[in-house]
Amino acid sequence: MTEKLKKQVPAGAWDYLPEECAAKRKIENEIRDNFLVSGYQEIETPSFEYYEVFMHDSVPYVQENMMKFFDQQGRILALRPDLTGPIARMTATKLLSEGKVFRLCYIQNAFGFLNRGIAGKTEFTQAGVEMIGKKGADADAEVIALAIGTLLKIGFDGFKIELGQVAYFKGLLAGCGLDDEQTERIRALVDAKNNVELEYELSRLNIDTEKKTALLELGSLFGGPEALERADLLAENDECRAAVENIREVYDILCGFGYEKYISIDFGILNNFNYYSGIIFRGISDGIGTPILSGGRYDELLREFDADAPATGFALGVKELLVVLERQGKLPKLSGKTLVVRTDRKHMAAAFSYVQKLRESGKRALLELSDENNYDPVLFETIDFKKEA
Amino acid sequence: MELTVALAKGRLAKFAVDLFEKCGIDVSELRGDTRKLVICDKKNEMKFVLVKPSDVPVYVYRGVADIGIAGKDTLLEEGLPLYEMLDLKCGKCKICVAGYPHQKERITSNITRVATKYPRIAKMYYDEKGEGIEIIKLNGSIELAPILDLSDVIVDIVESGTTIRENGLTVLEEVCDISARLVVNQVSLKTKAEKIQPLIGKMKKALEDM
Repeated sequence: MTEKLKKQVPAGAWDYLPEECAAKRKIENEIRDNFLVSGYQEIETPSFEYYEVFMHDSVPYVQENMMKFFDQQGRILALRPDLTGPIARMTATKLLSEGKVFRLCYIQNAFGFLNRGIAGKTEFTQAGVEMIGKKGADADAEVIALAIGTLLKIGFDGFKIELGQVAYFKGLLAGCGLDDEQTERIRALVDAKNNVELEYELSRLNIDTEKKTALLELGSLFGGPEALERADLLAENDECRAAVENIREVYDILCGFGYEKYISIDFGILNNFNYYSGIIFRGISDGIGTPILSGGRYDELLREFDADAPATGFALGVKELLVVLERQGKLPKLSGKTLVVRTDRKHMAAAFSYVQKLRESGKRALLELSDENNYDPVLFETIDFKKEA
Repeated sequence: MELTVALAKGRLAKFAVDLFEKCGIDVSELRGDTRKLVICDKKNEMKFVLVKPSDVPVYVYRGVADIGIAGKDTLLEEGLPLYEMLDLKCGKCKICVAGYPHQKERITSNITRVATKYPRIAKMYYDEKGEGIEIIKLNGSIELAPILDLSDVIVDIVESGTTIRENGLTVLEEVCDISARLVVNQVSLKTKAEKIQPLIGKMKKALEDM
């Protein structure tokens, strides 16, 4: 058995071979540059944390998804399932001070057993930002605009950012007296746009007809600004109205930035509902059937670490981006040939300093002291240094 | 913009063909005894792929098909995030727990042994009840398991209940209702909205007339 395993990687692990790795690094560098020039500071957190960082009331993590092991005292450690939890922990305990806003970014790997889909890997690279300490539509719009700008920078065009608002759903259910289990069933059905079963589920509950109508409409409340109008009409209370107003403000700001064509609205997006407290969004693109980014506002999370600060952010799936870029024929390729400076021992000192000069000027160059000639002419260009000298 | 539809081979495909025809889509090629796996209606820019029923959710989830028609049982068993937009009300049946009404008490076995071809559904059902079980995955003739004492009960699809009764078993609990559903990829619904939305509207109407 070990003989067979040693030639494989574990399920969902991934080798990045030179061509893919070069493309990945190029994309990551463009993303990182865009985050940095937008005023976000890069951080790193450990790959693993105490399990408690991920296991409390306001997280979407699933126990069986996490890769766990023990420290020397027998306490449970977990490989981070995403970066938001660790960054909330870090900011709450080491950075936060009253009234300050932190704009943080990262490109790091996260881990999980249950990830599926085209780019579903048990270890996957996320590139994202978190803005901690700022509330309101302008903060929401800032991070969404950053997401759009970043996608444009790496060459995406056929994509959309869908905006949703969990507070609208929470507002609709306020005062209905539903327990957690009932709420979860309704949430899952709205999120799956499964009106057939939602209708049946609602028929068994004692809530008033107007609310039922609104809940049944939720799944189809998507599209352009007209979805906002309809959501406003169905709004039950101030909480719902505030939620609509928040999306409208964000929408208006993003239109002001010239990003209208990249935005759509869907009040029925309700994934990770316990985590998020306000606007949520995800990026979808031609050429891939699963989202390429997701994010939202999570004002409650830092309380788990005894701090009180509003927060919002998003994460891009780097592997997803690579898959789409390849399907659209836009995957970055290595340009030019690598220079092979061929010489012998007699000329090696001069040849070596020549190669160093080439490298300093940004060219890829290597020195060949033997007669070996197995360089693929498609990738390499040979320079005979003895002649040059 | 082309729309790709994943259809489950077999009984459900016939129903789907009727339904698409009522919506004005040319699926005549699917009626014949074709061995082709991909069939196109160029005029309506639709492509149909015929796949194993339990594979429909995978094709749609991964986005190689935009929409699909599949039984609720396979949707539950695969458990993938998809938009489940229409109940086609065809292939109605139930998933049930069946077995002998009086089970023998056994000192050496205090965990129910469940034979099923739906391990995930069985697990979800018993998890919700807070009951640990031992799952025995079978691929057919599930009713045989309790008869040969391979399992205590089975979790399986029950239509009329004849097979269950003829084999001396009884339905003990109902797990859920099953019928054919229209599923849509979560991205396609938005990126191909101008094609998918009207199609769903037409299908809804056709279903009312059927």
